[in-house]
Amino acid sequence: MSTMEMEKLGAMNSDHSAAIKVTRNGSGEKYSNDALSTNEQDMTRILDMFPGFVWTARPDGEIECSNQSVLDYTGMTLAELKNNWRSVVNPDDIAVRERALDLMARSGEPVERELRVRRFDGVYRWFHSRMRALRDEHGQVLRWYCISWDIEEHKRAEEALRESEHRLRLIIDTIPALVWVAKPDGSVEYTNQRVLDYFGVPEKDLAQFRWVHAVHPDDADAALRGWLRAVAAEASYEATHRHRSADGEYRWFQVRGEPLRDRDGRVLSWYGVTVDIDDRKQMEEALRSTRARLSRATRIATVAELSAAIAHEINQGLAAVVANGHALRRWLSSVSPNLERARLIAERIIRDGNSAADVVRRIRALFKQEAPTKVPLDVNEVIAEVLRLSGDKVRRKSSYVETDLEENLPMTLADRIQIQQVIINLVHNAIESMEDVTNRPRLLSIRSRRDATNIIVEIRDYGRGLENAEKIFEPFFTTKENGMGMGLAICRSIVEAHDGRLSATTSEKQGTTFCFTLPIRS
Amino acid sequence: MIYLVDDDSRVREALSEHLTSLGMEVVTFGSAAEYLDYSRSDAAACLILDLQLPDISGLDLQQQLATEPSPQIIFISGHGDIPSSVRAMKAGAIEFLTKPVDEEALIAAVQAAVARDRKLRQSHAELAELQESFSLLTPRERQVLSLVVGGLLNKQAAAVLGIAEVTLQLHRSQIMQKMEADSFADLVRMAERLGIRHPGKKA
Repeated sequence: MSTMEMEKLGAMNSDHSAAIKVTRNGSGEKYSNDALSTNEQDMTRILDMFPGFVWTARPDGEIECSNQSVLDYTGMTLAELKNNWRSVVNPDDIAVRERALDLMARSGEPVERELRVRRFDGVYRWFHSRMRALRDEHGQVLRWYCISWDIEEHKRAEEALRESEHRLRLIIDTIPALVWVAKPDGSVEYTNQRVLDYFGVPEKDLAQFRWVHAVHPDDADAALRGWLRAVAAEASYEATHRHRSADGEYRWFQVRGEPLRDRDGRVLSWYGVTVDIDDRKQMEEALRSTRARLSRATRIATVAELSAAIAHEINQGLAAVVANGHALRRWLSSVSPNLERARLIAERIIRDGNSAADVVRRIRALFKQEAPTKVPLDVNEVIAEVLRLSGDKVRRKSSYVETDLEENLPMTLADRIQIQQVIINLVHNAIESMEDVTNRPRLLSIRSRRDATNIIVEIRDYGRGLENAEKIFEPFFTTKENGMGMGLAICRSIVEAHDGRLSATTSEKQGTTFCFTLPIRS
Repeated sequence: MIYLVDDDSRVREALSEHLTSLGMEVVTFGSAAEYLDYSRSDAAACLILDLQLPDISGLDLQQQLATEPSPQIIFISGHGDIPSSVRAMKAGAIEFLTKPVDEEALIAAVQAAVARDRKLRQSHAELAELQESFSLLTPRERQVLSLVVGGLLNKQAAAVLGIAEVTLQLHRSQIMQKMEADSFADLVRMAERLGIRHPGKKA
């Protein structure tokens, strides 16, 4: 569809061909008249089909002639466009074009500009415009030859990219960490704003910045060696050290770096974050000291509780002895002494006195406990030994034992006698707890196993269970008729002295499981 | 009658023996609940209470018992815990004894407790008797009683009620008879115990 307005162009034809001649002159081509006319038609078609604007302008920049694309796009006729270029250029870009014209007129260099041109429907789209001047012998511009093409999509993509880059930059600068990129050789390539702010380094001096100079002297050596090792090995880097801030204060940071590799596995760069963990460090420190204080306080409280319990236990016995003594004296001093009754009371006095003495004896044994003599110990062996020793009791109480001992259990460091005591105690408790079980087998199950750091021993009975699985560890708490309530308290203190734990889980149907751990010897 | 509550069987047994040897009758309990479940006889009594009981503490039991007629309480405790003893005494306990219990102190405390219980029971009984007599009075007689014990002369009281002095004297002798008062002074004392006041009497 060649709708180029030939009439309007008529006046310019000679100029037009002259222009072509001029432009082609350099290659030395000549055109015959026929050839010219054929060429003109061809040229017209080419120009109309050209995917862009092609047009010429007067020295003052006003449009003289254009291809069909311009007219289709603007929805204007050439007559309407003439002396009217400003009407189709975005008002903000008019000055751009004016300046470009002015500049080109003076310099003689072709100039390229980007500006927005109005479409027939009023929408402005970005165009890239390139102009060249035809000049007379004095260098005066005779005519402008111009092409422009639509770069709207490109502009938008560019804008989106810029926006996304900006956002990314914002994110990187905002995240509460020091973000850095290093070259494969380990030197710093890029950092976020926080790095510059924390260390007080101007961006221009980043290339000269040596982070290791801002590491606490005590940490610097290890930090640098760790980093160089990671760079050499091209492996992840992780470190914790103190960094000096711009105002001279040291804070703890955790540093992590990962290498980015190309398809062949070569390191392209290192990406890293350095996170301020100073608050956490201090909190950990505070927690640690609180824990130490607490554990000390707990020990003191336990001793206080223990002595109160001991005092109470002994005093009750003494109170009974004294009251019985009073009664005895009364009965004996009556007119007709009841000797039978007196003998009964005397026996009670002996019994209660002995029970008080027994408390004292056991407590002495408890407190005389020497520091454990720790030797490498095979817990399975101790269990087997205890079962051998308890065989009689097991048979007597017509219960039976099931063991599930993990083979090749690692050694623990422990006092053999004490661990033996613990296991004997738990085994005997388990057997006794099943004394009144009649509706199911009196099964005692002993299991040993390990996890990553501990040896775990579980001693389970199928008795009636306990009311309170924690209270049973309190001194003098007992569920037994003749119990002292010291066994489990001592067991727990032994296990804890070995850095282990002793606990119980219980249920009415399932019986009770005592479980203790001992650390694996490292 | 002595009630003894202590969770330690040895102490319970021995103290019971001791009190029995002193000629007292003892009933023992292992917990507060056991004691509360027991239906006591109406005899004068005393309650010996261990401070530390397995269910509720002796002090809590004391507080719970304060709202009902109950024997006087003697506390016994393994250790002389001052705050607890102060609390117990303020709440009306007779004595706070530490174990082992001193015989003299125990006897004295039990005697004091039983005596106070007896006295309280007596006074309760007297009051009940008085209330019964008072319930026999007619409404008019109650008016007269309150006026005369309030200090009005017969003439004045009659004027207040708008009746003849003779009629008032008749009421008055009826009152003396019904209340079984030996004298006018006796009647005034009775009215006092019953909490009767002259309506217009200034405090």
